[in-house]
Amino acid sequence: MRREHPYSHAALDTSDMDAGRRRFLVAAAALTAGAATGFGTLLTPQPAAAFRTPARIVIVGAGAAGLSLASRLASALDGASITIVDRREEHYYQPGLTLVATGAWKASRVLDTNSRFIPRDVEWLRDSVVEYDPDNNRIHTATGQTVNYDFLLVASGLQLNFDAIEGMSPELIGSHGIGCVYDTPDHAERTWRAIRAFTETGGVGLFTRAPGAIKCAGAPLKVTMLAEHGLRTAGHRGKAELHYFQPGNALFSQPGIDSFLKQHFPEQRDIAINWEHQLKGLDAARQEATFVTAEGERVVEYDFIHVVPPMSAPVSVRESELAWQEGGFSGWLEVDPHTLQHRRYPNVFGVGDVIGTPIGKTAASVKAQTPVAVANLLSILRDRDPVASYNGYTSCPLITERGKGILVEFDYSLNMTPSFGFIDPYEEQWIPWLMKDRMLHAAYNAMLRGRI
Amino acid sequence: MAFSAAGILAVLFELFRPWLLPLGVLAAIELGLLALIVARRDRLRVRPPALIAGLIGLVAAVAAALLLPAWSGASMQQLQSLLDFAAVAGMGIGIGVAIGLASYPPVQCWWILAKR
Ligand SMILES: Cc1cc2nc3c(=O)[nH]c(=O)nc-3n(C[C@H](O)[C@H](O)[C@H](O)COP(=O)(O)OP(=O)(O)OC[C@H]3O[C@@H](n4cnc5c(N)ncnc54)[C@H](O)[C@@H]3O)c2cc1C
Repeated sequence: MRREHPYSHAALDTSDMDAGRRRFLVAAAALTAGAATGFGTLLTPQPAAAFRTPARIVIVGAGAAGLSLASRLASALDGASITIVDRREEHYYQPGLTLVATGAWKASRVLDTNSRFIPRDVEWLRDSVVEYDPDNNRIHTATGQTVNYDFLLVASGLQLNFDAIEGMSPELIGSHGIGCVYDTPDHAERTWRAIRAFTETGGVGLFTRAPGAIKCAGAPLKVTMLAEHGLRTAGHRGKAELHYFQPGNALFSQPGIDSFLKQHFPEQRDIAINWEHQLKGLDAARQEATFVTAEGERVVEYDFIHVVPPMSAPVSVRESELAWQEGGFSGWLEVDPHTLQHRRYPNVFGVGDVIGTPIGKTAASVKAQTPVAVANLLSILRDRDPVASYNGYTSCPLITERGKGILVEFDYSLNMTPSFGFIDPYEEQWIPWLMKDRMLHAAYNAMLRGRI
Repeated sequence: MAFSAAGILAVLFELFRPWLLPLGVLAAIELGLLALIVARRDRLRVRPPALIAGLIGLVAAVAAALLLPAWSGASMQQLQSLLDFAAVAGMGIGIGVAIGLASYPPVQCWWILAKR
């Protein structure tokens, strides 16, 4: 197991004069372009004060985290060889899937392409990593390639384990009253068709939540509340009975919001909460769900069920030396929760859903994590200590109905950390909905381009 | 999480990215009209066209404020807090000012031509 810093600095930063002149030219060009267009620096990445290094940097995953890492590194470094590995061509704006699955957006609004965001000087390897070999600083890909690196940034997100639910497969989404917001835009649209049919007919609606860490833990709650609002708007609320199934004893990790929801669900929305219920299996043909409870198994018939599959780090990470080998984060990438540096391999960093930290599987977390990981990587390149620190920031516009929501932001301490002090983090308002519907996609794209 | 002024600008830029080309064309037309106005400054009477442009801006501001919630898929009844109403008013004023300013050059040109 390699613990030493594997990278030599001998060849670094030898051309200070060149760098100085380059910086001047870049600044002059930026000023001219900026003056001419008013938005010069926003149109194309500006390598302001780029650090010269021949380092080979590999980023695994071209999702929210991988792309924003690539953009930031491409503008912060000069001469580095940056490779991003992901076989997926299309890019999904995942935070929009909740709105697609509940009929507020068309699927086309969340579809994009990775090529639009990968900086020109970053090499894109259209492949997927099947094995990590951190002792030898290399990765192996599905097509049999071996890629060597000096620094590795793991941003491969997480995997949905539908097969952990007996009788469930993603192909079922949209049929037999089954919905799931977490998969593809196509499946989100099929979920909307299932929810719309349920909104018309009414009946028994079951809304589940998987145990353990899941991305955007607010999404199952939002789908529940938006479905309830849809029934109310259609004038069919009286025809439906809604149940929320929670594997544990809390609905949300932030205590203030947890209290709000525990009161809001049963009292304001007439949604029954079933504590300590974990979805074990489905009989799609009979429309029956089996839950494991403290009292044994319980079978419930349904007309609509929202399935949330258990989630884990991708198998290539889970089965590698890079994963936590034991403890509560077992299987997730083992990083320091503040510096995001791997705890055993100092030339490895992790950002996004793949990392094993107490909270933070959101795009909002990625926005806060990426600058920290990049700053710490730059520190190491400069032979300094990695001191930038991620505080666990995460955020969720908790949409309570189409047109209203609560802007929830907190950190590792679970205290609220509102970005905009004037927005009450405990009050349902239109502003958080407006942000979700109209602003956050733009913020997300700005993040992918390394602008925020 | 703090947002810097540059960060907010970057988000706004992304928001308007799909309309940058039409906005650029509009800006070019406006500049052309302004140049025309400067060239014919001997016939310039600022007050009446400015009043008309202001009126257009006012109508646009009121219409925008009324339509904003529906544009986001919400209804007026869903505006909950003082902040919601302040936001609607603020955005309405912003849109009204932008449209008022943008309509001044064409209105001024029309005034010059009509009074020839
Ligand atoms: C329904 C839903 C609602 C959400 N709502 C919100 C919200 O309101 N607010 C919010 O902030 N966040 C929200 N999120 C969460 C947010 O989208 C994720 O946290 C964010 O996308 C994580 O980014 P990531 O880069 O870690 O993972 P992803 O964006 O999932 O990207 C991972 C990438 O890695 C690639 N990959 C995987 N395995 C490999 C491999 N072996 N080799 C190479 N590449 C690989 C994948 O192809 C993918 O492109 C939501 C997510 C969902 C699904």
